[in-house]
Amino acid sequence: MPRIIENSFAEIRKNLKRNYSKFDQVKISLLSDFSARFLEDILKGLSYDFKLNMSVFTTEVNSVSAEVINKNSNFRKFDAEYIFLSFSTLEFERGFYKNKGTKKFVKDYKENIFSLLNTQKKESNKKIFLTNLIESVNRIDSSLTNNDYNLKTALKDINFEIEKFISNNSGVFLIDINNLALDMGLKNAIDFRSYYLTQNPYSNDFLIELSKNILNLIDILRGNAIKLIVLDLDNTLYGGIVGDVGSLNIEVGSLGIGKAFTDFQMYLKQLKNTGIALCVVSKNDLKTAEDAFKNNPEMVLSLDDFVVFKANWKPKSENIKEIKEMLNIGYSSILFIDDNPFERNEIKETLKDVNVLNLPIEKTNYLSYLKSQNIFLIAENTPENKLRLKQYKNEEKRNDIKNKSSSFTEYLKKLNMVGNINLLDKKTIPRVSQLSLRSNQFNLRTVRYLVEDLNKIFNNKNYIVFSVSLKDKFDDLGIIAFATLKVKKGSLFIENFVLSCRAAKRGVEEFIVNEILRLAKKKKIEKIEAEYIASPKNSPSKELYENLGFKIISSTKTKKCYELNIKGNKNNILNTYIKESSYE
Amino acid sequence: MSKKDFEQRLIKIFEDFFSIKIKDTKKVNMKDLEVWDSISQLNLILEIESEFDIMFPSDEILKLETFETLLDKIVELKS
Repeated sequence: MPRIIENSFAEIRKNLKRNYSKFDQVKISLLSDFSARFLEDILKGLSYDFKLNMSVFTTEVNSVSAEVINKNSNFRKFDAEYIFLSFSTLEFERGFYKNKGTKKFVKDYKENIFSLLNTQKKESNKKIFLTNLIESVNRIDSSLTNNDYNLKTALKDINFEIEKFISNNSGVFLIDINNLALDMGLKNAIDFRSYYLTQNPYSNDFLIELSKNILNLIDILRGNAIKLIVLDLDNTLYGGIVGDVGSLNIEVGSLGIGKAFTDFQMYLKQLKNTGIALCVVSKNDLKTAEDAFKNNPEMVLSLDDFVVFKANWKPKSENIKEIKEMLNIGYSSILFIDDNPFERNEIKETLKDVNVLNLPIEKTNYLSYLKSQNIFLIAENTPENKLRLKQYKNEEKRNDIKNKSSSFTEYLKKLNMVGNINLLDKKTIPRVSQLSLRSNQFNLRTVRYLVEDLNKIFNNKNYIVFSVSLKDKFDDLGIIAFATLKVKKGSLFIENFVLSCRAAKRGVEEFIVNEILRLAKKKKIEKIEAEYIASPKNSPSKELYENLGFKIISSTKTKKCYELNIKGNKNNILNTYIKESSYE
Repeated sequence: MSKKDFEQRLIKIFEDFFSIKIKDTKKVNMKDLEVWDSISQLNLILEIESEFDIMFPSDEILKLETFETLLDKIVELKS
C-alpha cells in the first residue's frame, strides 16, 4: 500500500474519473457541522492511491444529531463501517459567545458529542474517527473576556475530554486536526472565504492532509500497519560518509548539524520502543558501518536496536528481499528511508509495495518530514510488541540453526518449543485484538476483532476463545495465535483461526487443532466445522485445513468449507514438536 | 495582454478542470454545464486565481455563473 503520497489537488481531482471497481469497497459516513462535500471529493480521489473503492455519505450541515438518532435516516440506511465525526472551532466559537461563554454551554456541547457517540456505539461495531477541535482559529483576544474561563480554556477543556473519551472507548479513534493545523499553520489551514461562501472552513491543502490521516487509519485497521523500517546509514542516520571521514567525524550530537541527526535517531528509537522494528541496509563494508555505532559515543541508536544489520555492496532490493523472507512480513509493511534518490528509485522499481519515504534534500528537515507523514498510528501498545522485536532479532540465529540442521524436523526439535494455551481473559484481549488486526497471511476467515468485540465475545457463553503463546530456546514470542470457536448444536465452528506469520510452519497449527479436539471431546462434541475465506493476502493458508486432516465439504474460488469428525477416533492427535506447558 | 489572450487561457483552464472540449463559450454556464456546480465553483475559482494571479472578492464569486462574466471580471481585475 503506497502510504507515501504527495499528490497535488489537480491530480487528486483527476483520480475521480478513474476506474475504482477493481479495488475493495469501503464505506465511510462524514458527519460534521461544516460542509463536508469538499472533503468528500478529496477523500474519494485519494482513496485511489490507497487502492480502495470508497463510497462516501455526507450529511447536510446541522443535521448530524437527526441523522444519528433517527433510525430511518439516510445515514442509517447507508450503514458505513467507518464514521468520521467532526465539529469545527468556528461553529463552537459562535455558540460560545452566543451563550456568553458559560461553563454550562461547554458542558452541554461535550455531552452532545458523547451522547451521539454512545448512541452510535451501542448499536453497532463501527469504527468511529473523532476529530478534536483546532484550539485557535482566530487570534484569541484576551481583552474580550474578563473572567478566567475564556474561549481558549474552553477549547482545551473540550479537547481534553475528547481524548479521555477516546482512550476509554475502543473502536473510537482520534484524528488530531489540532496538530495538523498547527503543523500547517492556521493561515494555510483555514480558508475564511470558503467558509463564508460554502460552509467549508478548510483549505484544500488541509483537506488533503486530513484525508491522508483518515485513509492511513483505515489502512491500518484493515491490517496494513508499518512493522519494519529499513534505514540507510551515511547522510541518513548521521551526516557525512563514515568510510571517508571515520566514525568519530560523522555528524551526530555536537558536531555540525549533528543535533538534527540525534533528534532523528531519538525519534526512531521511540518508534522502536512502540514495537516497530528497525534494520540497516547500507552500502558499506560491514566493519566500517558497525564501527560508527561502536566507536562514536554520540550515536543514539546502538547495534542492539536493529533486528538486522546489513552492510554490503549488493543491490538494496536484494537485501530487503532477504530480510522480508527472514522476518516473514509483507513488503507493504516495510518503510524504506534513504537519502539517495538512486537507491529509492531502485526500490520503487523492483519492490513496488515497499513504502519509500522521499526524504527532503535539506537534512535538518528529515524528522519533521517523517512525522508529517502520519503513518505510525498504533491502536494498542502491548508487551508483545517489544517481544516481537527481540524475536525478529533471534530469527537470524534461528535461520542459522536451520541451515545447519540436516532436516527441518530436526531443526524444529532443536528449538525446544513450549506452547502455552490461555482461555481469553482481560489480560490477553488487547493482544488478541491486535493479532486479528495485524495478521493477514494466516488469517483463515479474516474476521477482525476490536477490543470491544472481544469483550462481548468474552461474555458470550457460546464462544470459546483461546490464545497460544510460544517459547523456544531463543526467546519468548508471547501470544502468536488464537482461535475463536462457536459452540453450535452438535458441532464446534472455528469462527477464526489466526496465526502470526512469524510463528507459522513450526507446529503451532497442529498444536492448536489438538487443543480444539481436546475442547470438543470435553464438551462431547463430535464434529468440528471450519472455513477458509480467501482474502487478497491469505493465500499462504489456503490449504492449511486440508493439511491438518480436515475434509473438504464444499469449495468455491473464494471459500472452502471443512469438517473434521472425531467420533470414536482416538488417534487423531496431530504430531507437533511443541510441548504443552500445563494449564487450568 | 488582450481579451482574446485571456479568453484562450480561460478556455484551457475550463477544459482541463472539467475534462471537456469547448466549442461555444456562450454555452459554458452553470445552467448548461452540468459538472459546473456550486461545489466545483470554488475550486474552479481557486484554479483561475492562481493562473491569473488575481483574487475575486467573495461577494462577487456567487455571481460568476457564466464563462462571459468570468472573463469580463478577469479583464477588469487585470486592467
